[in-house]
Amino acid sequence: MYERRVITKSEFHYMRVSLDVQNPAKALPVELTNVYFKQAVTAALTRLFGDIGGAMVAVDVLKYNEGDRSAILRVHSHNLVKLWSALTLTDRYMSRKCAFRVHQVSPYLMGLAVNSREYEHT
Amino acid sequence: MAAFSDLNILHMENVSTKEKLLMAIKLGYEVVAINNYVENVLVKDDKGKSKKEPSKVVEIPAPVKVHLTERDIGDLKVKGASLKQLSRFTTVLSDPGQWRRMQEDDIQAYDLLAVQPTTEKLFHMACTAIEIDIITFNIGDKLTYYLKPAPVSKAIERGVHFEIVYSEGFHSSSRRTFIANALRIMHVTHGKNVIISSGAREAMDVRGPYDVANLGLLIGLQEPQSKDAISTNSRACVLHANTRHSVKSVISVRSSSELKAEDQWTVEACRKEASEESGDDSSESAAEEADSSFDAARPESKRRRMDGV
Amino acid sequence: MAAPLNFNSPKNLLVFEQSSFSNEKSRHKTVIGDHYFNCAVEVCSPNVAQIPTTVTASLSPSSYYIVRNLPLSRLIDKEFIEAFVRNGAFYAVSLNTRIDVANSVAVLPTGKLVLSVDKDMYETLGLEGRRSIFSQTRERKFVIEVELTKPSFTPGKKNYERTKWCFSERLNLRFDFVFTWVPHDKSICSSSVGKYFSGMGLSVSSCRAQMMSNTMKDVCVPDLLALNILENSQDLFEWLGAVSCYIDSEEEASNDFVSMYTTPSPCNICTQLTHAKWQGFFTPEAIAMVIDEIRLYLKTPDHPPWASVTVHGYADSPVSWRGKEHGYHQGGENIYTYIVFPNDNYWLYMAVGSHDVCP
Repeated sequence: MYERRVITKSEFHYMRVSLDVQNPAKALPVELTNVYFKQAVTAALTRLFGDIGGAMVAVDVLKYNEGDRSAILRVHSHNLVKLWSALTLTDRYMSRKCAFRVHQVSPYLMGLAVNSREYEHT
Repeated sequence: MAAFSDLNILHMENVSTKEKLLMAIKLGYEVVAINNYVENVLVKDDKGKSKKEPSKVVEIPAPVKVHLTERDIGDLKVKGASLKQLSRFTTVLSDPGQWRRMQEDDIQAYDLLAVQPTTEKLFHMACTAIEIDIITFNIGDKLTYYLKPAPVSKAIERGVHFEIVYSEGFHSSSRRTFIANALRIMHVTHGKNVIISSGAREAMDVRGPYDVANLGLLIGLQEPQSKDAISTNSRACVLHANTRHSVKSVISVRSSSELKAEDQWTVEACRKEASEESGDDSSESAAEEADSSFDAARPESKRRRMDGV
Repeated sequence: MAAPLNFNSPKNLLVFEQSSFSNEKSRHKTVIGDHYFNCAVEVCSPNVAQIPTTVTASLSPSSYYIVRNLPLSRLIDKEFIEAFVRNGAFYAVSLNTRIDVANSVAVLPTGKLVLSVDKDMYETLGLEGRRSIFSQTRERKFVIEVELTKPSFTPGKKNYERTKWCFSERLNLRFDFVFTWVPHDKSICSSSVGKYFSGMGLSVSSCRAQMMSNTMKDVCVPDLLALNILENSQDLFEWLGAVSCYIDSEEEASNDFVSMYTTPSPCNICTQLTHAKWQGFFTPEAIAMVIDEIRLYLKTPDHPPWASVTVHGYADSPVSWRGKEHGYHQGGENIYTYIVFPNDNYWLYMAVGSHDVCP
């Protein structure tokens, strides 16, 4: 009845990111919905890796919060470096100065549920 | 591992340096260098030749230190960290005569010195001959000379570091050149002595340390090297700069009266060794302890096994 | 040098085990008991309106302490070792210390003080240690272990005096710690350790676990009995993670462009799925009680088909299971999840990151 499996390669990696916009008081031209967020991520990939390179990286926006423009992304593990660097090298969205902030990266979605580095004990 | 560092936060007249520092603190950096960039330290005359005359000397701004209030660094303190501010001077090396000007006190007052060579000959000079800490490049523009392995190895041996400024990768016009140049630097240095910094003109140009470490992977660094590029290598660069200010070696000699209270034990230990005969166990360990206070870059020494007897 | 378009996937290890609590060879006691520093516990179950009160009662009262600026030499005081380390299980881990860039300290309930230090600290501190297994070729991190309960570790002995001198006079090391104590003698109050440190004039604050709970209605839940678990273990763990992150897969997947994530099949619509999360500092003893309560609950009438318990370890702890070294590269995961069934069978996931030993 006892079984043990060791999986050494996670199929996906997960990232908790947010889009930091300069002067958030000044509204973006459009309300940043999950569709626009996904578009921003895809545009970042295409800008860095071109049409083919960008198309090869499949990204899922698993969760999106419009309030703080934060999201949980899922990407295949071998594409993590590409996605992460594309987000890092993005400095503009809809002509507004911005930056993608990556808060947490984990090979497990469960890993994003808790962040002991940010927890404040009361 | 050392603390995360950003050794290139540009100081510009019309943009708040304090905002950039606060962004760096928020993102997790603990060591920052505020960079004063002066394109030419010598004055050019009408014929385009550089000359130095006492009345036309380029005025070098004093090192900048931003005053941060308790409130600014409050978050950092709660997290048990602290911010160390360093000053850095960068200039374009377009003439060998500039080095003589750089040796004057106003430029030497800076913690870190960086040059941006414009020709192969000047690159060779920067790598092998002059006492600087960082060799940087206009990484968004095509490099007009080849980076040869020989001078690069010599630079690595001397403790000079090569800088890659990632904010040049933001603009689509310079991104391709940025990556091409970064790959060339990786190829010739094999990832050694490479530091990655922001070159931030605005607060939004600063990226988090883990983001920058991942960028290192993009441009060809191995996993451990990419984190080193923003921590350990930066620390080594700062230590190299310290040796430039102290004496011309890795050993500094001070009078015992200048020692801090917590280092006074080394004087006793040396005295003990001198008065007792050799072969005594405790004096051997005391001598080892005394030795350890005088090194700045000595490799790990063998420690005597402490058996609880 | 790797070509710039092909990158290695970051390393990680996910262990899946299938066994039964009634199996005498089951290692659940050591898996729970040897994972010392736990910052969060999550419980999830379908078809229940709320988490059983017996489970909540095991976790919500969990109080622990935070001490600021504790000199490390206080942890090797003979009085402290005799009163707390020998007479109970003392758990402490340094707070706000990022293990990948700074120094981290922990006291294990086995009586071991573990320091994970960088090269500068190791060379100046003067205590013997070894290189970290994650930096064998590059001298970046070192691990120093001090056996507090060793009979020879006592005032007057060379080793003890040397350690005390290093901690207090050589370098006056001070850290913030989150700690708790479980006395062997149940009649002694566990708060005496907090009083001991505050009696020294140190700033000690008492903290409580924080709880958040959430019930989702009409959720698609994988049918664990019909699922081929050995083929789909990663998918199930991902689904549990989605629940913990409050991802509503139906809502988010309504748009294929945004996300192509789906619940692992076969799945059924459940009227409700309850999830609760506690964050704080939890001892293995508290977690063992939670698992026992869950096992009892699953034997009651109207029990749910299964319940899961997930435990998250501190990302910056120097150890994971059984004192094995733990590090932080891009993340510091050391998580385990038990999915418990009414027949006492369980599925266990142990998930660690790149700087970890296989649990």
